[in-house]
Formats: sequence, structure tokens, C-alpha cells
Amino acid sequence: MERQKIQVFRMRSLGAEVIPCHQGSKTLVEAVSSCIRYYTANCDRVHMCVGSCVSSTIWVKICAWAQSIIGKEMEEQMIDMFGKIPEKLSIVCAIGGGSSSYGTYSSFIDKDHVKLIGVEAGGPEGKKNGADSLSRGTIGILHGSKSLLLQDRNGMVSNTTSISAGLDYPSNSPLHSHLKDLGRLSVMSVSDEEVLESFKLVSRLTGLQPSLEPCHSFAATAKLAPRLSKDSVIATNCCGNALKDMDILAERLKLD
Amino acid sequence: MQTRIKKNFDILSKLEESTVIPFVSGGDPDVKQSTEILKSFAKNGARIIECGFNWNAPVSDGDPIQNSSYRALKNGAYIEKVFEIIKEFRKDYKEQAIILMGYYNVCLKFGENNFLKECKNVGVDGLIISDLPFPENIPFVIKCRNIGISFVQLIAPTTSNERIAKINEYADEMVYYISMLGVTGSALKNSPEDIQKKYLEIKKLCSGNKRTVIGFGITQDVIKKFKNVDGLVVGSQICKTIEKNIENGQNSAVVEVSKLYKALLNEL
Repeated sequence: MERQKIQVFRMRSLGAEVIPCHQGSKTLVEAVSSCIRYYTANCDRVHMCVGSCVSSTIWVKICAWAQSIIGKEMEEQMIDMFGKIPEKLSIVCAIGGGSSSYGTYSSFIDKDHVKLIGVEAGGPEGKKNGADSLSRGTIGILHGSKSLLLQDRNGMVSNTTSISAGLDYPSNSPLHSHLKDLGRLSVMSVSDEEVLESFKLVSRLTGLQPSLEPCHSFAATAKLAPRLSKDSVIATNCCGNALKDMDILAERLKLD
Repeated sequence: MQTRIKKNFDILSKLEESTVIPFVSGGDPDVKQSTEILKSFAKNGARIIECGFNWNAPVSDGDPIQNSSYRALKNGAYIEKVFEIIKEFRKDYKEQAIILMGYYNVCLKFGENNFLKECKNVGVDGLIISDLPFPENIPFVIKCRNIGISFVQLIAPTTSNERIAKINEYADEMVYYISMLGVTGSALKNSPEDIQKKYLEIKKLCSGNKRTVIGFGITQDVIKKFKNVDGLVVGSQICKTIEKNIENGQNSAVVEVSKLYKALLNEL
């Protein structure tokens, strides 16, 4: 909750009760487990909502549907800007659980000429303990769905590390694993250090202050861009504001 | 199918007795004591025993069993160790039924076929896989049947009679009724009368003399309130007793759990 202080403040100010989770790794994976446990105990009087395309089928579907607004808006903006969907288009999105990326992709999945690129949290440089489950995971089952999972040889869910709390999940949505399996989605990962550099770059060049999650896609975009022809278009989704990450950014970039 | 589960229930029926099925996580508080605990259950009259194979994302368990699994994992009690524990138990006790309980990812990673083969080798009779629901579990149930291991289907208070009838087709000798909406280790939410009403409905819907056991929220205090049920499962209270006695050193967890199990049987 410390890492997500501002989000907690926002939720509380809207009237929500926010319950800290003390179990296990105390990260997103435990928070999802705790939600499922709460819902199991109270499903006769509450509804469950997951802000990520994870958990069992129905919650994956609900989240994917709700987030599809991002893709619709992006498509509209593209038509405003280019008059059509560009011929050479790559869509680059950060993937943790996969809500904002799936929402973005959803308008473009059936447009075969559009390249879909996912960017995962590689964690600290050279450590191989990031949350890049599509890149390094093997087939497993967590929270009621089958997807690529970071696990050890005993099937234990790995403890992952990422500078970004929102991407720090050892698996991903079954939708993304499926898209990767089909060859429709290509995946890359960027390190915490690259993410910090990209925050500085984007802040200085655009004045935007993206949160650490979209900084992953900006970092990847900066890597990809030099390899593409001049008439190519890269679209990415700036899915959050750095306000919530201020403490981490100040500390890591020594901006205190 | 005729596993030790059915044989033991048949004996209980003849004696007109009910039973308490104890649960312990394999490897809690350590491998040696956990083997001793399993043996003490058998020595004190358990006919069917549940042993947990541990996972680190146990979504259907509350704190007592979660903590118990984490302790076991800290001791390196992964699935292979749990198989060793059962093997060791079987050296002394051949008649009691052993049911392994855990989560599907561990079987999947081990390989379903290898997992079932190893279960058979060490003398496991049944499996409860709490995150492998019906109908997704059908292919696995068929594999279990082919090798002669009982797959224990779970029924919840929200399971409709229509669904129970369908589940029954893929249920073996025993079905497990989850007494309430909740995770393990919560206090009993529904009255024993209401639970028994649903229990009787399940018995009626599950043809072929299937035994129905009741679990979740079952502790020493409530056992007396259940009359003429096939079996009651007690897990969290046992895990808590282990937790309380870890610090007390040498074998005290074994001694206390053994005392508790005797007391549980006395409540029947």
C-alpha cells in the first residue's frame, strides 16, 4: 500500500474501504488471491471486479470488455490524425496482468497488418527475476486461468520484482498467452533501469509525466523506432500518471 | 472403483459409525514430525486421512492452512517430499485411506500422468484438487479412474441440484461438501441443521452409495451437532495446534495433535 499511496488515497476519498494484505509476498499476486478469498466468502451478497485481465474466465472477459474503450478511442484518434488506420502500424503496450494492453489491442486484433507488441517488466538489470512471464514463463495455472506463468520446477509461483507495482504479477492474462501462442503478439522486456531513463526522456521531450507502467512501453518504443522505416507509425498508450510513483522516482533518480 | 476409501467407509457403515477425517500439510512442522502426525492419526483410529501437498498461492485456504503450507514449503516439502512422507507412512499402516489435497498447478508441473503414477506407487487413494472444478476436471477425473485413484468432487452451498446431478456422473466413492461460502479456517457460518439438510439432498442426488463428507468450519466445538453423517473433516484446528506447539520443541506438535485427534473422535 505504501507503493500505491496515492491510489489508496484516491480510492478512500471515493468512499472505498482499502484492506491491506499481509500474506506471502504482499504484492499483486497476494492481493488477487485475497480478493478471490473474499469473494468466495461473500459471493451471495457482493460482486467481484478485477482491474486486470486475470482470474477466471468471466472476470477476464469483464475487464477486457471494459478496457476495450482504450482501443476504440485510439482508433478514432488515428482516423482523425491520419484519415485511416496507418498501413505500417505498430502498437506497443506495457503488459502486467494485461488490462490496458488488451483494451488497446482489442480494436486491432483482427486487423492483420497491425503489429501488436507487448512490453514486460524485466526487473533489475541482469537479475532475471522480473515479471516478464510471457517471455520467460511456462504453462501454468494461477487464479483460475491457464497462461504463461513464472514458476520453479516444483510449480511454485516465483517471486517477481519490478520497479512498477502494477506490472509486478508473475503471470499474465490468458488472452495474451493465447495471442502470443498464435504468433499475433510479439513480446519484449525492458529493465527497471531502462524504464527510469525513458521516464527522463519522455518527461523532457513531451512534458508528460508517465507512470512507471507506460514508461515500459516508451522505453521499448525508443528501442524499436530507429529500426523502422520513416513511414511507420508507433502508437502507445500512456496508461497512468507519475504522481503515484513520485517517491520511487525521486529516490531512484535522486530528485529529492 | 474399490479403493481403501470405500473399504473404510463400508467398515464404518457396518459399525454404524461416523468418522473424523484429519488434515495435515505434508511437511508441517517438519518432514519427520509430519510423518509422525499421520501415523498418530492412524494409531488413534483414523480410517481416512487427508494430507496437503503444498503450494504458495492457496486461494481456497484461510490463514491456518496457508501458514501451515508456507511452513512446510520452508522445510522444502515440495511434492516429491510429500510422496516420501506417504511412502514412510505406508510402511506401518496399510489399511487407512490417504487422500492428497492441493492445487492443480503442482500436478500440471509434475506432469499429470507422472503425478498419478507416483500417487499410486506410494499408496495414495484419493485426490482433492481445490482449484480444478467440474466440468474442467473431467479429463483429469478420467485419468484418475483409469489408474484407480478416487477423484473427490467438491460441492458448495451454491451448487444447484441440477449441477450436483451432473457432478455425480464424475464423482467416485466420496464427495466433499463445503459447509459454507468461505475459505478453510473460517468459523462455521451456517447452522448444523441447514448443513445437514443440504447434506441429505446431496446424498439423495449422488446415487451409487457415495459417501459425503462435510468440511470447512468444522472444529471440536461443533462436531457434536452433526448426527449420522458419513464423515467430518477437521483441518485448520489441527494446523493451529501445530503452530502453537512449534516453539515447545521436541515432538510437542505430534503429542498435542495426537491428543486433539482423540478428543475430536470422542465428540462423535
